[in-house]
Amino acid sequence: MPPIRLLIADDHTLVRQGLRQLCEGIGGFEVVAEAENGVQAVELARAAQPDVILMDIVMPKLDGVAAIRQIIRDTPTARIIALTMYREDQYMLDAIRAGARGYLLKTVDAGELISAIEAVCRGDYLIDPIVAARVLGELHLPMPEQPHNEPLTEGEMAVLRLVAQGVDNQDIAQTLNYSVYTVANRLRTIYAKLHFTNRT
Amino acid sequence: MDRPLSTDRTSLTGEQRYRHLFENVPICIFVADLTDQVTIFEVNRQAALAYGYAAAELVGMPARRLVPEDARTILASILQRVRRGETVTVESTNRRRDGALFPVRIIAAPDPMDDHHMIVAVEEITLEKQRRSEAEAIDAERRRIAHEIHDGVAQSLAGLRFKSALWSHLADGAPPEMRAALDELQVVLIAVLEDLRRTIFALRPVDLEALGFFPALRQLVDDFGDQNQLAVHLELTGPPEALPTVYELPLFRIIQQGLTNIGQHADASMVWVQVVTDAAGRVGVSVRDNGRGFDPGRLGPTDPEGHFGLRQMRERVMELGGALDICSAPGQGTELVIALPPVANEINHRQNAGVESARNSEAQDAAD
Repeated sequence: MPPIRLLIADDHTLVRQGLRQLCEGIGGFEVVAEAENGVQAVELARAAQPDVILMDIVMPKLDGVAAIRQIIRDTPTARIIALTMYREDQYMLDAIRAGARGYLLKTVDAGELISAIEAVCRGDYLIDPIVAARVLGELHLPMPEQPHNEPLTEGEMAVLRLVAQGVDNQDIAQTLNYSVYTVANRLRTIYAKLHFTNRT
Repeated sequence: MDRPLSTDRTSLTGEQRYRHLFENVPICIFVADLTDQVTIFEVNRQAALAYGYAAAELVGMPARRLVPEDARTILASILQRVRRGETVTVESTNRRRDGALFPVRIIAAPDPMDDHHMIVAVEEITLEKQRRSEAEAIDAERRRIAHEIHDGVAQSLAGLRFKSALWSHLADGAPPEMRAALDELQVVLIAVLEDLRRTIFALRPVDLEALGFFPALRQLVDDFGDQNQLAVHLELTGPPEALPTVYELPLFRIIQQGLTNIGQHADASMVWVQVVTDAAGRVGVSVRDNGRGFDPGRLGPTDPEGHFGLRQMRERVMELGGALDICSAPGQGTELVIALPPVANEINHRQNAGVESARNSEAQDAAD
């Protein structure tokens, strides 16, 4: 199997280095480009067409959220994972709305990092209880200037609620009597709706 | 001090009593006419003192002489608005006889007794301004330090942690001690990153003005729960507007410190924060957890870190004239209870010096 081609965008040299060494050292990955700001990330994403992009959120020149938005505009199928230092850092949800397929903390365990990149490369979305909880919270808030023109269906809400409780795909499938594929599909639509809401 | 010979107020006539009040109230009072000149008609002793003139010199003087040139448009707008019958409150700059400028809060209102004059109260706010800018500077500095930790050392450690994960992986066939040592390095790095996260949280500046106290508190408590993966309950009882403005920032910091302590020491799974206000202006706060608790009697050199956090909180509470109690026992969780008195007099809160002199004169009155 050819290695998964990665673009790493982070303004901290040591973070880029660490990620590169870890991914290449463990095997199965090739870091084809490194960007130290959002502008570079957009250019390199276009030039190198990586399989997966790891994108830091807070970067000089152009922040990660704006970079994600531009990359998705260029290549709607781009597979991007947002990176943040801590869970409470802001803009996580913004990154997902901009088109990221999930986010990872920089304290993520090596095994989890690898499987998350592989999952996103396959076209999956990462599920995260905190993000799901925030999405649920936001659905209850009146948002006059940003109407959700495409509300989530009952089935999608049910999935989102379970994700928010920290239940994994397998158990969600069992609880709702869906196949694992249905759960994955629902998540895909949830993400798509979130994404498009912000682009209206 | 220049006190009237007779301190027996009841012996004064009504007229004398009000004259006494007018002269001795610790705020500058001017009566001025409503002509374009704004000629000063009458002043009290505090006004003469603050501006460095004899009272007789001020009477008949155009008010603009007390106002530096770049603040004269404010004087003109006060005049216009009072002529229309409005009461005006503004902050501006005034000038003493020696040319020194000082910040003031001016309250001007039409004289209800005649159409040709206004009554102007001027309060020097040098201390208040200083305190405000100090608070702003401290907040800016906290923000800078938090930012520096977040974007500097934390990022470097995160990079290093990725590297150490690779080293552990590479050491797969190596002697078990080496593998164990590298695994330990990873664990330590993660723990340090967690510590830094708590530090950043504790340093976080408060956007009280933009959000308002209670929404900001809600956000703080929710974020704390998210961050430490524990259940939080925030309960507000009583009218929110009864919370005195001067309590907002210190109270916020006290609760923030209380939460930080819980995150660091309590090993709790649930936290309750309760704020109670009443119409009389009293404020009660409770920060409770179901963590491991401790023996409050043994607080001291044995636990310098926790002690420091508590000491800071106690100092903050005492500055506000309140009381802080700690109820805890090993295995029983911990509750901090803070009680703050009503804010009796805003001036007392603005200037400690004001509190002092008020106390002194009370003491003197009592002695008399």
